[in-house]
Amino acid sequence: MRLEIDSYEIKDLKEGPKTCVENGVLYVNKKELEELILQDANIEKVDIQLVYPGDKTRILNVQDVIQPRAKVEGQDFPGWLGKIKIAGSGKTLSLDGTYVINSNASTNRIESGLLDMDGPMRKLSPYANTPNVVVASYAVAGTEERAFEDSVKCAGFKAAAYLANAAKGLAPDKTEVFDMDMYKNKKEGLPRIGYIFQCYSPQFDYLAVSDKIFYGRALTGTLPLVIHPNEILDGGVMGWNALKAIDSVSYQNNAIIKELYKHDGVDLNFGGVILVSANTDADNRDRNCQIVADLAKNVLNLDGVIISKILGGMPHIDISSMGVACENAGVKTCVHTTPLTAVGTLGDTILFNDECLTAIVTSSSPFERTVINFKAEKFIGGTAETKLYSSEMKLQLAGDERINIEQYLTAGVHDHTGGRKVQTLEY
Amino acid sequence: MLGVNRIVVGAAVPNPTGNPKLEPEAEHEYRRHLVEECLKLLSTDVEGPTTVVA
Amino acid sequence: MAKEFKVLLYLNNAFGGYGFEEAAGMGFDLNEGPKGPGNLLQAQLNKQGEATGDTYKVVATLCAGDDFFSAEPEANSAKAIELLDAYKDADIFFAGPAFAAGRYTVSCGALCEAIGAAWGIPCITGMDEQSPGTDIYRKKCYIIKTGNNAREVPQTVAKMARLGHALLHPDDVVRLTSLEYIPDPREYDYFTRGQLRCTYVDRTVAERSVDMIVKKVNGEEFVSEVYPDRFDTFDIPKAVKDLSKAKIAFVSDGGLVYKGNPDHCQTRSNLVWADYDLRTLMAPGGYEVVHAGYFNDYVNQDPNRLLPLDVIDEDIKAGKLGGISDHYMSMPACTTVSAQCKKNGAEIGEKLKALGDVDAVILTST
Repeated sequence: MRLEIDSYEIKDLKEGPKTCVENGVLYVNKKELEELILQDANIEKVDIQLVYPGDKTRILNVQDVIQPRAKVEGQDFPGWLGKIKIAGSGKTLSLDGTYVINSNASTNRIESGLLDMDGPMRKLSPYANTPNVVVASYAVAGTEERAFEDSVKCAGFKAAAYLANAAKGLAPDKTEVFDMDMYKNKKEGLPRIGYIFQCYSPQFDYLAVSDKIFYGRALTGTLPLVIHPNEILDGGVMGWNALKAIDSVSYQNNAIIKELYKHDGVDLNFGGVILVSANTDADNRDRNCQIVADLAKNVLNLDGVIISKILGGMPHIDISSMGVACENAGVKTCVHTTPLTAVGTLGDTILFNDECLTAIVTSSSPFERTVINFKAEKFIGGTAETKLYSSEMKLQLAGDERINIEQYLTAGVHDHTGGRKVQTLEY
Repeated sequence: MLGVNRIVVGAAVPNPTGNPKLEPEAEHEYRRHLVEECLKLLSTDVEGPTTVVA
Repeated sequence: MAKEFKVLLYLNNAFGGYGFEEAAGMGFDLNEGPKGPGNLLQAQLNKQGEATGDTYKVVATLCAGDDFFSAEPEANSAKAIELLDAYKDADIFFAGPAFAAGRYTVSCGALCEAIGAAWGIPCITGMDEQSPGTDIYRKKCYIIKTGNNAREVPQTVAKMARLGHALLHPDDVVRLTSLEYIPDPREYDYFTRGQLRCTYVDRTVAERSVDMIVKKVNGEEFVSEVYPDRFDTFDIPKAVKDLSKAKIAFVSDGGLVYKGNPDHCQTRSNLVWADYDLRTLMAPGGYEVVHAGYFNDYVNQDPNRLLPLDVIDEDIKAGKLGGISDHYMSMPACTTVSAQCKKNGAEIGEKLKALGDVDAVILTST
């Protein structure tokens, strides 16, 4: 499967009569985008704003962040915006340097992500340092909450595709080729390394409904799947309905996949991807772990795997169980872990200690807190009175000058697919 | 480092196998009961850490 | 803005120049200015200060004898804070370094904890990893790693000064996702304080993962980012088959020793164990209690409250139990680091096995 991503560097964002890219500037016809999004009967109104680094703006109820991408041929965000068509081949347009900040202004969730365009977040999040298009959708009264979250999701994807299409026909600044056959080694004699991507966990399911993250459907209760890495890079697997130290940008740029591609034919053969969701009960976990190990060993013929994890403590158990199953099947592992507390030792915090899991990487500390001192003057997707989540159940509002927030809720700070230069150390 | 498999809970830190608040006879009875639990546990096979409250 | 930082220092009898064991019982002595290694500390701090245009002055050195202070570390720390009241505007506090000295490390740690809590200023000392003060106080102050050799004073003081200067000069460089300023323990060589922080490093998680799996698959050496705690597994000893024929032995960490404490067991952070004759010990006037972790009177009144010998003798007489060994293994263990306990425990186990006739142990713990 061969995917070509044509990237266009966006240096500035402006409103304009016609949505287009000219000399590195993305011009946006806000009215046209608005009309496109309002085609969804669930959306009463949508607030589309262009934001810039340095704005005293706090964007609230951030459900997702999406990189503007559009297929030259094929279906954008298949399964969500249109019929399913396997993603990952052909040409895709991609805008670099600007993002769609997708906000659910009508959410009742108590935890919601945020992004500040100035203040301390400038030092922590790539999104605070790029001009972005905020899409904040408001629900028609009486719309069922989960159905509205899907509408918000699609609004974000529509905006992402709409904006990327602005570059249609232009010569790209950069073209990346992702070309890989899971059954043919790029270079003989090198170890076959695959990626087990734990991309979801149902433990957080809001209103007991799982988020649709795979071609427009949920993965909960499904069995492990072998898929081509390009499907993940090209819109087949997308973000949740809330920031969980991972967002659509993370999926679209899955750092482990990109890194394995970089090494493909150099010191390894990229052997493919197995997609799994974490399990909430031991029976399903056991079954899925055995299947994962079997797929890795006997279907993909892997010598080694990297296993990344998704947010939460329960996923640690799946990670270690999958890891042990793989090691027992003769597939070596490098597993990810995320320390769950800011107090303790690394050994304390990982919730597993199987002897065979000798290669462990810390991929983030999503529950660590940051104190953010930032007095916003403008709020999008909410107001100064919007309640912000505090695990101590202390009241904090969006308009507070000082907030204490868990890092997984701060858009862009962490990336469970391994894209950040972070490591958890003992202090 | 953990791995104590047979534990009998004593009376208190300053007097694990005694109780100064009791009259001598009663205290002796208490200690007899405690030791009995110890000997019982020593002569029982256990699968893992086993705690007995006397 | 150039600043003159005020520094306070604590030294024991030896480093303060009062004498060795003979002066270990001395009470507090407050000196103006630096004393002993305080001069070196002041010089090193001023060397650090050159980079930022600041100066340091050791305004006072408090000294006390190791035996005196470590007998009641909390109470003496509170007293020290009272004595130092005139200097409570100090910017930073140093104690020691204490290297591996049992009593001194406990004193330094206790003072650092108390002053840090009372005044909110950085408190720094230096200890060897195995010394008693390290495990107890490492989370409460900053303890520079040292060896057990007191001849390392110059390099240790230099490290203490460097860390002190860093703590007083937080910068804006973003090193942690929490945006906090915490000097890196690896760079400043101090014992980690039980905290975890997500730190910015030079390679992405993905880069490090691919690197690690390729090395592992190729059988090459790699460094894992986490080494999980592993609990020792061992076979659980089988039950005693026939109590009426079995011999037990007493072991205790409660501090019951021969009268006169001939093995010089310490009331706190004791490191030694001894093999005592049970009957000699349990006779009136044959014992005393060496343990600072509990009120000793009850056991002193009646040692059966720690070693239930009277009931065991009754059981033996009644035929319920075969016998009790004459050997009693005593290891007073008030705040003794677990590594030491583990070591001593293994030695005690070997000794009991060597006796040849001990089937089971009753270990009483306070």
